Amino acid sequence: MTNKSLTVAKTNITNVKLAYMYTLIPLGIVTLQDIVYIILYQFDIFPGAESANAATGNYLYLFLIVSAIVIPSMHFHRFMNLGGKRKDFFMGNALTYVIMAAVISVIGVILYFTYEKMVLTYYSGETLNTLYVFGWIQHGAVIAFFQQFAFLLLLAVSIHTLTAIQGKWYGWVTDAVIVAVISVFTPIAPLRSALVWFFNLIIFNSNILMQIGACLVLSAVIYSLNQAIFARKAI
Amino acid sequence: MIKFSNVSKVYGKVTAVNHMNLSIPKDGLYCLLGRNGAGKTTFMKLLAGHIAATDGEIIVNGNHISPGHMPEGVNFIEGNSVQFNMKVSSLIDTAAKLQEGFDHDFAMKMVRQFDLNLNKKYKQLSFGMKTMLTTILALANQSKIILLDEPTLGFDAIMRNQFNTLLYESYVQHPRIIIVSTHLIDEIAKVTERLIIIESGSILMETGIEEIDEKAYRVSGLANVIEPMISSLNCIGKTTMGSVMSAYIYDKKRVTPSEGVAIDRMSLQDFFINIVGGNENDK
Repeated sequence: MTNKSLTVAKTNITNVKLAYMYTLIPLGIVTLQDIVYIILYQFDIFPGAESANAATGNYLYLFLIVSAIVIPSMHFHRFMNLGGKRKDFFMGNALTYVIMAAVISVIGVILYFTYEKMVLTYYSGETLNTLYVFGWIQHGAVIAFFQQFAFLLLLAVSIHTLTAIQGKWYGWVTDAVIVAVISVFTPIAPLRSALVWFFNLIIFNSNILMQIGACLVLSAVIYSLNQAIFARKAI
Repeated sequence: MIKFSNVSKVYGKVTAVNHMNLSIPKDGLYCLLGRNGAGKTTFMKLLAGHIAATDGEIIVNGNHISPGHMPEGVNFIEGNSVQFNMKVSSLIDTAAKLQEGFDHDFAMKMVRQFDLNLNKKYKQLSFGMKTMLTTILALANQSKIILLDEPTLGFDAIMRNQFNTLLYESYVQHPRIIIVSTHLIDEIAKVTERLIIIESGSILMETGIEEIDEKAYRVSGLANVIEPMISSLNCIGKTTMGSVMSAYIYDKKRVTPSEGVAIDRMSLQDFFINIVGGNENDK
């Protein structure tokens, strides 16, 4: 990683206004809702309200998802217009997603053990948190961080790559293949088991190292495609 | 340094660049002229490796150019380029960090000279100021080849004059190949040395401004007097109003001055209009 990669990453992170907007608005609404519940609880109104909200930390996933759409579709031309090189864009984006995935994962884990534990005492229902639902938290905070980080990195580079190829014939073919895999594989039992195997590999894997390793290897393979995609991308 | 050999670029059924041949062997300020749709932007994009040629070969500094093999030393900037909505100062700092040898001092000097507010965000700038900032960023780049596409879009007369100064200062400080595409021919001619004229996707002419000054002139007078005078000369256009004719000549030979015949210097704009066949009166 060079200073140019760091510059690309810093510029990316500070210029994804859409991502900030799409994250902070729902996050603000949910936090406000929590505050209202807590106040009502204090006054014995609706004590122990039922809840099936997504965990606060999981709303940060939106930031990663929207960023992975904005960066390849809007930032490429802007970097080129600033005299940036495609190679630096490639390396800088990789660094961007590593930073984003790490920060979101660490915040998610911290929120799980602090804010969400505190808020949950006011609810009778459960808050849906991927750390809990995907079973990552059962191995402790540190392992949960790495498992979530690896998954988020794979999620980011997959969305980034899918966005980058839109408008190209191979983009349409990839879209069609994804839709076909989901719609054909789901109803047919033997094929469905292949899908289940895949999701077990990258999410629900009981073997921590295999889950993290699979996500990182897949991330590297998928992201490496971007070198060819952006090398040929017209400006 | 730059060589186009039989280069074509086809978009669907439209041929934007048609068997283009061009050689630019040395540094200089080049003015790229052409009517709308003549292929100027496509030529620049091909040269910068931003798009792939359909046919032919482009060589820059000995390297074959294509989007997969973009030339390191070429910087192409369009006048209406989009930029990050950052403060002017941040945009300059970011460009400086992204580019090898970015001339930060030159960029800051130009920003002050053109009264660009460093604290304003890009979207808060006027259209002309946005273009000016983009041009400053391009000229502060140390690339050996700079391509500026319509860099004076949205400029008023004073800004255009300032731009010409900026262009010349940049060239004097860092001699290299600078190609400027514009429609404001006579203004840019004050600072450029050579002219490249594109018509229908091909190079119509590549010549020095001095050569045009020497060879291009206008002869006016009664048509029956002018016609025999110019019969042996390279006449690139004529306009006739009643019995009075103006003939646009591009020839080393000069007509002999005589009574009732006016010989004037031809403006570059008139030269361009006539050379590309845009003089409707002549058809």
